[in-house]
Amino acid sequence: MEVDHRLIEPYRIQEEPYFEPVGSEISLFTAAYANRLPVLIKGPTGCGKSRFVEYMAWRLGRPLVTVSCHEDMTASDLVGRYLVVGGETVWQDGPLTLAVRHGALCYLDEVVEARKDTTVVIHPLADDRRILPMEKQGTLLRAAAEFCLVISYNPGYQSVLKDLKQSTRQRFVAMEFDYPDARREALIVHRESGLDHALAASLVRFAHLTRNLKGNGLEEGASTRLLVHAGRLIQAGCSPAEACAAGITHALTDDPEMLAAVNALSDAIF
Amino acid sequence: MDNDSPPLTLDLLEGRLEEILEAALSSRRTIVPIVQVMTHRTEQQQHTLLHWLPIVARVNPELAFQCAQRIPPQMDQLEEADLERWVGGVLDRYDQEGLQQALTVLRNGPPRLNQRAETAFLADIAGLLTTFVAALGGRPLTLAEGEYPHTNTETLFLPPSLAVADRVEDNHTLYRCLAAHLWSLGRFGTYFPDLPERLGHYPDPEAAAQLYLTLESCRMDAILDRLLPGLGRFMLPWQASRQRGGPWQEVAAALAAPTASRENSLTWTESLYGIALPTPLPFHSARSYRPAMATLLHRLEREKQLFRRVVNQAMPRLQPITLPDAGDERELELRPLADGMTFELLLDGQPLLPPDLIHALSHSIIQDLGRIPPEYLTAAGAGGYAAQESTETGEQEDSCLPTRAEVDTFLYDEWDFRRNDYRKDWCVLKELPILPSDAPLVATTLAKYRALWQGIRRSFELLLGRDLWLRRQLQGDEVDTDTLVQALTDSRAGLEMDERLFRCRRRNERDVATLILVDMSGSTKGWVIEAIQESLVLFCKALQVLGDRYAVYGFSSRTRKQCELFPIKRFEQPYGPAVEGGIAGIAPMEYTRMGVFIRHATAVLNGQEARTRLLITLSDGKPEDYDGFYDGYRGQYAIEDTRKALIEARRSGIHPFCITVDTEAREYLPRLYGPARYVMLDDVRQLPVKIADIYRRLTTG
Repeated sequence: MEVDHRLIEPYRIQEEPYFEPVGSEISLFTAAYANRLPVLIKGPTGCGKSRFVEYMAWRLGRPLVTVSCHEDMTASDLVGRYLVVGGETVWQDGPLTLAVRHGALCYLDEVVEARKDTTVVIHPLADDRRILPMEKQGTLLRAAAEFCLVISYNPGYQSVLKDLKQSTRQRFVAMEFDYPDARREALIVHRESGLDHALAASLVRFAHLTRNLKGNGLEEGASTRLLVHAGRLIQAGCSPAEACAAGITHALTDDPEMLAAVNALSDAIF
Repeated sequence: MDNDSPPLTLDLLEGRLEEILEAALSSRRTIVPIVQVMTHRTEQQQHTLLHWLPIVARVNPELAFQCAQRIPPQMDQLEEADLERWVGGVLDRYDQEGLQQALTVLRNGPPRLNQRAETAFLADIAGLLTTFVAALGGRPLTLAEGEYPHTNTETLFLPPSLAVADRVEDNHTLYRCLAAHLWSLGRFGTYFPDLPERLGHYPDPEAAAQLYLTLESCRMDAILDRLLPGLGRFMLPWQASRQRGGPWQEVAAALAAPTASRENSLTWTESLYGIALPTPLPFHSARSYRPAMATLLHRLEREKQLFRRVVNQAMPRLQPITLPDAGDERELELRPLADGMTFELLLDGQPLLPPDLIHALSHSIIQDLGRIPPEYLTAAGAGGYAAQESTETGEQEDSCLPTRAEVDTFLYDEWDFRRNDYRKDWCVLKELPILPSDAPLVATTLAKYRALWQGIRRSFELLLGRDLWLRRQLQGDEVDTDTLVQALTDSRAGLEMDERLFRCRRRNERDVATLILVDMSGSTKGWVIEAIQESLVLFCKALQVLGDRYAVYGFSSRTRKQCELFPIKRFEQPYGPAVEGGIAGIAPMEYTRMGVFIRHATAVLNGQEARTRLLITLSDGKPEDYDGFYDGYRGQYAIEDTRKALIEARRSGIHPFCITVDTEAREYLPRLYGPARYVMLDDVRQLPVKIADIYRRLTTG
């Protein structure tokens, strides 16, 4: 079948995304990519997993197809389906097929959220077969050489139901992400929001306090992403207290007592 | 309070008081003076006192006698809420620390009254402060009311009320400063094992300790100013007012350096010894170090043993160790992680993945010692990293309360309706393995109820999630061929073409987690327990058909200190011979302290991610427990506590359902199980049928 490469063009990343490396993740990913190994990235929400994949796609010069998985997502949402156009059925590629065909990076974000039947298509793509069975068309699609499958999940949710099966995880090169150290995180907040270094460092200190509350009333502490949001609010003229309340505290919890306590923390810092 | 009571005559009052305080009276101690004071009070006040005294008397007669003496003179200035707060504080302290401390609270009088507008009360913000301190990090800390602010490095003792600043908000902030200050003393090394020795050579070690703690307060002020600048700004005016006189300006500046440590404070203690101490600032700790030292030394020993045991347990998980003769020792080493407070455990250079406990432990040990001393890692004797178990268990017998690190032991509050408040950490719950039985319970039950089981299975199979194809959809997984043909025909015939040409699969997913609590009290002996066992067999089998997640726990108690929970099947455990043996092993034991078990089950269920969480209790009647002191867990007390626990469960999103086997309809049932749905079976033989039926209705509703 003729491959129409125009379809993938919108997925190319034009400008270099900002990414602050913490360890050897770039070289590790590059090595995995060179060897056609799929990659599993785990880490808490908002710590930079998606940004890293974007950055790597840009660096490797490949288009990036991102799919945010949800609990109603099935294999056919990934592979594609027949549509009826003017009285005829027409096949439309799903995002995974698109990436496989055109040699793009396919990033399945929060993969544990997807329905179990998606393993049918993930498994043969993630081992050395590198094929995509297209059940409805009755064909096998061999992945282009540049194709790479990347999945992510957040082990913090700790649900028995939403855990990756061993048979799935043992197909991937696994990389663990965490929030960057205080200095780097402050740098990221500064770069992303334009906030001055001192205020960025205070935001990071606030985040550390909330992370101590994980399991003590909060499901998760403030993520780097939330810090960037608060930083931007401050840059736009909000007071630090307002920015923390709106950008961080209320995003973390609805519990009135917890809100009061987290607000007390931001008062103690700013 | 009952306002409809008859007017109190002198005789009546005397009679009631004598009855309540009888146990504390003697020939030299009569109620005459109390009655004299009481006659000057209004009738409402007399009723109020007669409401509270019996409550206190049940806790401790002596305490009630003291209350009867101390409360009446204050009653004119007290509103009912103030009195409740005062007596509540006294009772709480009795629960926690005993009679002497409770008497101190009583003698201190009602929490300040004259500055009501700006007074901040600890009770109002204790929850917030606990979270605040947890966020600061380090060893887990609890908060408690204390006469003066200090810390023993595990508990922060804060005064019950503060009225230093002019505005209530500022007094709240002051509480936070105080909590942060006490936290920092424990966190940044003020108390360390050699402290008494280092102060021992002074002529008056107590005075040296006071000076040292004053200096440490200065150091903590500076640390807090760096860590929490918002609080720092708030504390500044107080600090400024103090630093003007004497050498304190210079001292504060020196100790404010980021590199300053307790050694600097000790050096200053040397040079300033004998100087007059400034008055402590309102957010500073009292200058006592003995409580902290006692806790610290005790903890050091405990954690050392625990650490060695944890290391010991972590080792064989990776590879069996046969600790060879000396000279060939395996090298165990700790490598600090980036945060400097947690460690990675290495065996021969290979990382051992230690359980979370070791992180918390190493954190705590390093907080005390600054490092993990090498002897913590040495093998105690050949064959392993043995720890002395004996001291640990010895301790256990002394105090009923578990140490924090002990696993499978939990503390729960209990509701006391008379006080309208919780008794904090009142019940000690332990999870213990059940003694399995190899009686062929499953086979006999299935044989006995063959027909019934067929019916149950069929009705459960009907509930099974089946995939449905939804036809005529606007979008979907596949083209719906029939509809497409119809649409094309319509279109050819000049009719409008239907756009809904797809079909999609709708998964009928069940997402239920159920926890069954089984009463194993002595009263179930005989046919009740048999019926419970048989129902459980059928029920578990039925749930296996459905594939729903479920857990089964049995419970029995004997006083608040021995609430025993027996996991027969945990959520993550598959059904199998072990579970069957567990069900067969259910046997009548002691009493029924329902509240604590419902609270624990609530916690377990809330750890399960499910759309529907169901808590089913199976019991044979009234909650009841034996307690050595006052009138035990029974009657209204037990009913109200159970009811409260059910309300808590309901509030956290759980559906509680109570099944009770009772031969006579009892009037307390609606009150007891009001917050939950319940069913009462007068014939125990209905139980196996009913329980499956009830479950089916609950989970499909």
